[in-house]
Amino acid sequence: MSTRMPHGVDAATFRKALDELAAIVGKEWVFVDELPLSAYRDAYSPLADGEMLPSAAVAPANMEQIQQALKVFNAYKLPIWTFGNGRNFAYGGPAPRQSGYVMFDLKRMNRILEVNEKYGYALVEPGVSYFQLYRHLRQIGSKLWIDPAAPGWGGVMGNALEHGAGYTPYGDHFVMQCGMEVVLADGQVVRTGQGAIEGSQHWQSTKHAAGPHFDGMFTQSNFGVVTKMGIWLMPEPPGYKPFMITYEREEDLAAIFDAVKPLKVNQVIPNAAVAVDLLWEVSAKTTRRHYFDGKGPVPDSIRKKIASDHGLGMWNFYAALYGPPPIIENNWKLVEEAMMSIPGAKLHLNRENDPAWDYRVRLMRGEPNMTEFSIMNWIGGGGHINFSPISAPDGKEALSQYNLIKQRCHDFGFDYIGEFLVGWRDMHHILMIMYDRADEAMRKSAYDLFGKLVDEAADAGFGEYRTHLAFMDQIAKTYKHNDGALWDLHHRLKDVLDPNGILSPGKQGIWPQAMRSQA
Amino acid sequence: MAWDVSRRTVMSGGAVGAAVAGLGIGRSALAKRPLKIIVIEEAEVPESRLFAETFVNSGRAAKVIRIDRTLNGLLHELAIGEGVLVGLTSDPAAMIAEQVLLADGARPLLKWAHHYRKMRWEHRTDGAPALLARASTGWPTVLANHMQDALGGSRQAPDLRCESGHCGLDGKSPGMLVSWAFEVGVQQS
Ligand SMILES: Cc1cc2nc3c(=O)[nH]c(=O)nc-3n(C[C@H](O)[C@H](O)[C@H](O)COP(=O)(O)OP(=O)(O)OC[C@H]3O[C@@H](n4cnc5c(N)ncnc54)[C@H](O)[C@@H]3O)c2cc1C
Repeated sequence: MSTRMPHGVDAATFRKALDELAAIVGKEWVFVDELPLSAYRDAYSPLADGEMLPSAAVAPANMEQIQQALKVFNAYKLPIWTFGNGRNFAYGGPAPRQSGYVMFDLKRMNRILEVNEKYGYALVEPGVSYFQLYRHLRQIGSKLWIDPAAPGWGGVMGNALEHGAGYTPYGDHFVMQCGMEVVLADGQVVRTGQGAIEGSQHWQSTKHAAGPHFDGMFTQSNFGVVTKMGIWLMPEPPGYKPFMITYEREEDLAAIFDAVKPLKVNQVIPNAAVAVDLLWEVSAKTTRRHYFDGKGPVPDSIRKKIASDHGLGMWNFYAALYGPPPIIENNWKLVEEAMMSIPGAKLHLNRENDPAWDYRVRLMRGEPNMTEFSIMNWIGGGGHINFSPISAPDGKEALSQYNLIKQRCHDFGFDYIGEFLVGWRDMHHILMIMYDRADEAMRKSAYDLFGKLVDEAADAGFGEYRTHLAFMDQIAKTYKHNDGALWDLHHRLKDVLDPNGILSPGKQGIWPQAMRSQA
Repeated sequence: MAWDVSRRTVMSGGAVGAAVAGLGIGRSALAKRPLKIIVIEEAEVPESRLFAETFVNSGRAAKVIRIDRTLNGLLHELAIGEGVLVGLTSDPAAMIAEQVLLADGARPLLKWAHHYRKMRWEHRTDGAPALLARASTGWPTVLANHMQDALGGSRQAPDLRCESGHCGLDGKSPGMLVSWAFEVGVQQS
């Protein structure tokens, strides 16, 4: 049995609680030994080994078991960490916010409860992965697409609850979520929206109902355990035209986003339009050591050689058009006129034997895959965290963010490996900080770089849309308006909804009263 | 679903003891019974192909599972019932396999690292440094043979490092590889 215990709980009491939990979920679904618990590690962690490890894991099979287990957690005041598929890598994987928590692993609850072909939605449980939903739709002959995040093993629910993103026109997953069933800390079951009407047939079709809209409260939070979620699915369009445009100069980023903004806002480009930097794009095909064996960032002269060897730009812009072919052709004229007007732009409608093109084209038509993990080969050694500030899709803004962040990466000896993704009105900037976990100095620098970026971005008026466990408190503190009123509100809700503070303490910097002073 | 493969009852079980995080996990205490060995080959990686080929030529591989560059096969093809899964793969492929196999209750047997730096391969393995150090581009063959011995129980000193002689890096090689083995579907007592 693991020697880690939940904070403030002695071994005998913990064992008694685990016995009670085993009586609820079955002995084989309570895990206490190091080997099965090692599956809940953050393999890419920016922290030293031995941090953020669980004391035990409990895997319920249904909502009733969740309700009963919550009673035990409350009775013994055991902190739990809830997740679905647990593939949240780059942000902490399945690992808990602090060592000693009990993992509340919902992977067993993996039923696809409904697929509605007519209205285009599915109702899923927490453990349903993108691959699973994709295969199910193909098996039943559905003409609906899914919208996977780049890692196809991720969860439809977990990703949407984290405000994750995909690459079809349905890429903003929380926007496409419709209707939830949630178990509150005291075991009460709540359905949001039209789900609260007995016998409603429209729970997954409309987000609106009388009264406040609560769904967002259960995302990136620790106010409840979500047991069902509706997700809208895009009907397969009659036409699909993916494309990539390469741009030669780093400064082109400003012109790219000035050209993209009207195309996005007017829905000419309906999917997440992404500008990928050279090193991210090339890292699916080669690694840093093939070009540069020195320390610090890859020099400019070598970057130019990489671009020329692989037919890439300093920015590589991906998007797609969807719909009836005549509409695609019409819209294409607008896209071409705007995006190809930037000097040096080169259009690609197909790229033979190019894994990066291949996986992006799959993602933009909703086919899950795992190829993007190969970019981790750039450094090797399995260390990776994402710094993800958000802003408006403005060219000047994008360029100044890029310059600031790239400079900091270089100051700390890292390559800038990033992309900018434009959704409805927002621009997500994803910086992948990669490090060799076996290189202690490099891991530590990655951690320090991240912390510095959080503060500098906040000073410049940006927040992050999501973050790794290790930086949740720091980022929460950057939301300072009116003396941190927003986090005060979170804490007031937390105290009412979860007075024993059992649900994912510290998630997103939201702590129960008893643990608040430590944060 | 892989998750349906029944996970072990661990409440009453003794500590299994192998930590997955480090290198050289080496529990060569593979049961004496001859277990089916299945090799995972990452088709795009030249060293991975050579490693798999060595297992096949030695007659020890019951099967080779080829993974293409989508890496999807790691999620769908590792449910083999009972046996030992081995691979020399890229670092991300090793990480994905580890996550999937641990969740299915597999037992890690070894995990070694192979890193190309300054025109040489650096190996961190359990034992056999001399053999690996003498090999240059053919090192995956030496490694495959050594791994067969290690799985057979002839274990040497833990966590050794060695460097090969000067050699080039194949354009298709990630240059940072992990060799690994997991025992699947065998109840521990
Ligand atoms: C190479 C790489 C590429 C990536 N690309 C993308 C990308 O394109 N888009 C993207 O969005 N992300 C991306 N990620 C990040 C991450 O891998 C995915 O977002 C992944 O989908 C998250 O894991 P999951 O879906 O299994 O969620 P989980 O780990 O199951 O859940 C995430 C969190 O949601 C909460 N949660 C989950 N289920 C519940 C529940 N039932 N009740 C209450 N709370 C719950 C918990 O706080 C949990 O920690 C990438 C990561 C890597 C390493």
